[in-house]
Amino acid sequence: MAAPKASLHLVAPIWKGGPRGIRGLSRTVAPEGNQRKGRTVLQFLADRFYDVQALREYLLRKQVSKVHQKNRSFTYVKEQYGPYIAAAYFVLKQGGAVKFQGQEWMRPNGRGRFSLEFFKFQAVPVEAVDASGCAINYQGLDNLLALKELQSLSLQRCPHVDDWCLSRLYQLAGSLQELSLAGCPQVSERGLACLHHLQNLRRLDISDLPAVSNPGLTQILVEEMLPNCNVLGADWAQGLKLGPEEQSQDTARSIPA
Amino acid sequence: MVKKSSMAAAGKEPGRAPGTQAAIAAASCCAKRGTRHTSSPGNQLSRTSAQSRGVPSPTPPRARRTDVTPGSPMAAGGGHGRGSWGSHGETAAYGAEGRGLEAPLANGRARLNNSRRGAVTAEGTVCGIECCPRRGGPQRAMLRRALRLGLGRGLLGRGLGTWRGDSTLDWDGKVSDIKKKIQSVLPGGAWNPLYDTSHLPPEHSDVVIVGGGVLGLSVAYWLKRLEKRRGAIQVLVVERDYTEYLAVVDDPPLDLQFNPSGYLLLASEKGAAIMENNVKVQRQEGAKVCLMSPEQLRNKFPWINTEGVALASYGLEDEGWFDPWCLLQGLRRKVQSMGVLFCHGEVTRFISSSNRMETASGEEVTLKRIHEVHVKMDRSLEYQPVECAIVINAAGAWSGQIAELAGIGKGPPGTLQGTKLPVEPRKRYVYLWHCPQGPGLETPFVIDSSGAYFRREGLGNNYLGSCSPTEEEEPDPGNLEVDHGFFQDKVWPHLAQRVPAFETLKVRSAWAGYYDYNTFDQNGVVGPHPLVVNMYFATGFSGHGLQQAPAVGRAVAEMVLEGSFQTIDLNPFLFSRFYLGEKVQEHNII
Repeated sequence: MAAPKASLHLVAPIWKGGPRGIRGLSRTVAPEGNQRKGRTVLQFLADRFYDVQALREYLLRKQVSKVHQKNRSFTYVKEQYGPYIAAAYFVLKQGGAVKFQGQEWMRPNGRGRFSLEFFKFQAVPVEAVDASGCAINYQGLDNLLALKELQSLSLQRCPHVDDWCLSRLYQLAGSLQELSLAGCPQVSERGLACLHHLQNLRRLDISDLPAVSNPGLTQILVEEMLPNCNVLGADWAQGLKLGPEEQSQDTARSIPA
Repeated sequence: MVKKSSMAAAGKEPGRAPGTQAAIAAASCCAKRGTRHTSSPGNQLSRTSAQSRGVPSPTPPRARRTDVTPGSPMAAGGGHGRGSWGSHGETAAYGAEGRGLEAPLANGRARLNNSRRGAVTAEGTVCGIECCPRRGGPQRAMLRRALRLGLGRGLLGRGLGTWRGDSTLDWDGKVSDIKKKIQSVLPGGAWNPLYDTSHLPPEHSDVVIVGGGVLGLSVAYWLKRLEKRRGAIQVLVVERDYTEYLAVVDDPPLDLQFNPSGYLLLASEKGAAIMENNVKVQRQEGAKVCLMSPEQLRNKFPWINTEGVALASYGLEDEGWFDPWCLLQGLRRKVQSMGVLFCHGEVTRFISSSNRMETASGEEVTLKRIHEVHVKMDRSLEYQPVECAIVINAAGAWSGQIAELAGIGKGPPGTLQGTKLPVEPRKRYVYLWHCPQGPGLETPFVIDSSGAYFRREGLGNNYLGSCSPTEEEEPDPGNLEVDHGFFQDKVWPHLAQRVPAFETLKVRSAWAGYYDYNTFDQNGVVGPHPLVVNMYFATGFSGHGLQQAPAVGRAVAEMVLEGSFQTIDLNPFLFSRFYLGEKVQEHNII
């Protein structure tokens, strides 16, 4: 599984022009135009010098391993404190929020710190997980799949959640009632086809999925696949051309929030 | 900084098709000069170019083989060096591309030497002596002309017709052409002063992989990934037939179009026990498979008619289908970026040497070693002998023919020398149909107990499927024509019985392809041949090659680099089992 395209942008500002050395390092925050130019300079050099190419590959590998490290499984915590604590620790470490049954939402503060007071909730199941924007990937999902009483899962805007991850969600079928995949760049209609296992699902958000080829048609097919579920997403008439008299009717049929 | 050679920097290696610009330019150049490309074998073309160059008739690079010392095993090659000269003459007749490319070089040089007329300046106006009387005497004009030759872009200028400043000349093409030539002249380039050989494979390569399909590319990938030092092994992939776009560097991540919808296998009463056994093995290896009764099947997939189904196995996680073309493209791109050379050609001959050895028990055995692979270019008689150390047979349905070229199977039947590679092409059809009331998005890849299978294709209620014919009904593999009667008689009845919605469907398209069918036990052949010591097989998977390609590629690469299988033990799949008669039968071929 290759790293998404977004990650390559991180490489360019750090290493613009290998032979220039330290001077290039000062430009860590570059605007979009410079970023693209920086990438072509880097590409130009990487094409001609083995050192620059090896360095570039090394930096890319380091990025991938960083994501990998974030998604390691916390087996020690799991053995000591149980699956709920391990999952909560994992989510909080990634920057997401977690809600135990009967408790309030817990999330890390602005600096990524969070209190470890939830370690006393060993027997309390986790009810809801909000992992929006977290770098959770296929391996990291291991930590979440042990939550057999999870009712709500939000994976909005997760850059590494893809079709393979969706094929693993069947393990939460017993309890999951709410799932949100809005804004995930790697989820396509092929992954959405695996969601038919989640028969208890009541709310599914599949809006703003750039990798889905035909959002309107996909929404119809998903609605057919999950008859008891309220599917939020693209307006199914999005792909159709409306006549002038139908335009006013369209505004009445707005998507519920 | 370690500078890359200009060849590596250009990404690309000999074996690329020559730019059509140059070919067109060459053809038109020669047309103007009145030479013919379709000369009779008699080297008329080379004689013409020799005249223009003012050098004696060149010896083609391949004839250098005759210089090799007679004692070496290349002595056999020395004899055919002359043969290559002969065939080289013939290629003058057919290989318009091959010969035409050296013409502009020749013509360009000729023009440099001769006086020029109508050299077009950068401004597009001509500056001959006639139209610029103000410019002074003839010497100054000649100096100016020489300067313009150097600075202007008229090196490949055509005849008098262009001196009106026609803008139909392709400047960008010419400039890139000249840049290419300069690059090849600089050290590190592949400049051959006598001919342009950029379309030919290299003369030496450590490993030659016959066949550029998914297995061949997988072996190439693993060889490059597992080599001890960067660039330690030169790999050449020879593919006979591919029409596609070559890769671009710095691409977006590979998208295989993987559909993780799983496989659903249905078993009747008699197959139920085998299915349970299979599921046990699969679970042992970590696959997430569940067994379903007909009742559960009806609940899950209401569109199935469960009559005659005793048991069903359904893959839950990480199971499904993907686009093999995307995998092939991605592999090709990656493998090219790792430095593997590609060549569009056909392997026509192996030059090998034999050694008589005695085994420990005193038996005499003849061991063969392949030294050269003759790669014939497409639509031409031109060929290039590639010296190599190892040959990998990943030629798919045609592996049997490649093995015969290497002399495998030439011997009395029943002996090891007489054991052929039992891989032959078998034609299989695939049909694509539309059914408006068919099963929805959750449809897995369904394989019926009768052998018919289908899966969803896209979002528009289209489905793809077929059935393997029985031994008696095997179609003739001579061509790739589709038999629509086969769908009507053999596939549709089973599909309609299993999924009642398929009673009304409309076939949209169909195609045929070859399985590299192993007639012995329908399982792959992996590893070296016991007698031809440097030929390795990676073929014969009878329709399962795609899913096993990454693993087999790694196994063969390890066998080549380390001498034995390291990560996964594929010893039961060696060639010797054909001689020993030990079948590793694969039952689930669909």
